[in-house]
Amino acid sequence: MSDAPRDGEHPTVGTYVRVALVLTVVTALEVGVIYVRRLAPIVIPLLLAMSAAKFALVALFFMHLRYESRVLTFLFVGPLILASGLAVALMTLTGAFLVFGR
Amino acid sequence: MTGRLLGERLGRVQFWVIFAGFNLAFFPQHYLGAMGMPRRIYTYPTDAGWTAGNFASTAGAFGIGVGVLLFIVNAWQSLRRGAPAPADPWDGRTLEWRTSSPPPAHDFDTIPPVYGRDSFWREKHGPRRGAPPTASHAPLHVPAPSHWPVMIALGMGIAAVGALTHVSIVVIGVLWTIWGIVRLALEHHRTHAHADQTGVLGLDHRKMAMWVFLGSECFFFGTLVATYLAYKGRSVVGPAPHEILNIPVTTVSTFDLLMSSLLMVLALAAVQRGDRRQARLWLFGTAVFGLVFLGFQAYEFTEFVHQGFTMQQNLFGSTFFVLTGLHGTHVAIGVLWLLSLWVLALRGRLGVADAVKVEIAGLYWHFVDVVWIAIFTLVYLIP
Repeated sequence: MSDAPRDGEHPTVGTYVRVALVLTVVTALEVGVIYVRRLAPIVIPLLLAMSAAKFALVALFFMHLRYESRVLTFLFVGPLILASGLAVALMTLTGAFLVFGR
Repeated sequence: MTGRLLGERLGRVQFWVIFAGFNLAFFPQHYLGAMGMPRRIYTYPTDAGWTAGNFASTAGAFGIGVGVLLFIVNAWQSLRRGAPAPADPWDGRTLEWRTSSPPPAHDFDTIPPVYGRDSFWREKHGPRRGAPPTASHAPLHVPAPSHWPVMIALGMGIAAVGALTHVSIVVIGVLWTIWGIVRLALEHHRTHAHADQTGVLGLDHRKMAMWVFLGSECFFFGTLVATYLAYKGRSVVGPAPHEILNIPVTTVSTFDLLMSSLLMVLALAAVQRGDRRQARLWLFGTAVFGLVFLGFQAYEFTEFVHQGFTMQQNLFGSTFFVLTGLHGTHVAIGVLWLLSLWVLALRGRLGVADAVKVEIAGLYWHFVDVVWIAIFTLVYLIP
């Protein structure tokens, strides 16, 4: 956990292309699972997990967070967590969160 | 500011006129309020007994106006034949009085010595306590004055006037504003003093600023998504999301945006290794993929409107169009940004030293992409 920029390593063009391939496959899976009736009970957590994975892949590789200083990760992930908390709080307050029932 | 003193006698008259006018304007309002007059009304009944107080207030307001007029006259006379102002006419305490008169546009060319609070007073009269003076003779780089911010403000003003009158004036104002922003951004593009922006953390200031901005954007889109989800399923009238959203078409546009992110990193890699041809190609490709995404969105919105689904239709319409429309606006801004970089690349003005500029544009572009990843799942896919 060092604060020094990890500029030594850089993703290669090959890494970028592989990440794009994974993103394409996960997007296809996302669209596919909504049509599979047997997956209906777990479709929401499944979709959220796949979406989060895509989000993380773009942030880590395309936005270089994996290779950058932790300061930048903190600057982005901190507000991201707060904003997610804000969204959960708003949905809970308005009773939109199915977990808490209506 | 002008190197001239204001007229003392006229200044005193102006002070007293404004002082009297201000008190005459506002003091009666205390009594009028106590007598029951509501605030912020433009007229009142004649038989309520408020006439005399309001008349006094109006006279006072005119007094303030006369005072301001006296100031304008004084300033005009000062500009034409005012006595020259010395650098420190009133034995000032703070550093702004330490500069010459009239001051240069950015006050100091070198960092002045600082003796603590009321530094200039201590420098003149002592005691010179606090930190030892650390006068730096290294040139202090401050951007030169630019008229482009004024042009940008003017463009925004025109757009605001258009918002009250006609949409074509809004378009003129927005184009004017964008033109001003581009010119301001390119004004110091090649200034040597701007080349190294590394801060104390060893990070580029511009990159760090972009990450801070993206952090704030998380809140922006987080609240919009939360509002959409909070109102989901609460529309009194139709249509509902599953009745109108076209998942196959949006899947294609999502794929397009994901691939634009790939082109963006390829563009950055090309700029970093100095491959100008590929840099031009991938930058243009990213912008085109962005335009294709906007085309899909325009098609989707048009279809919805033809089917009677608008922003005013129901809660779903309001939250859906605000969320996806603002995302589309972000994409449009990104496309303009990418095209301006592409024009720079075409002119051969985007070298290896400018890689950080492409990287920052890329961060913005990828963020727009990740926001769409979230919107696609939360709005389109989740049943």
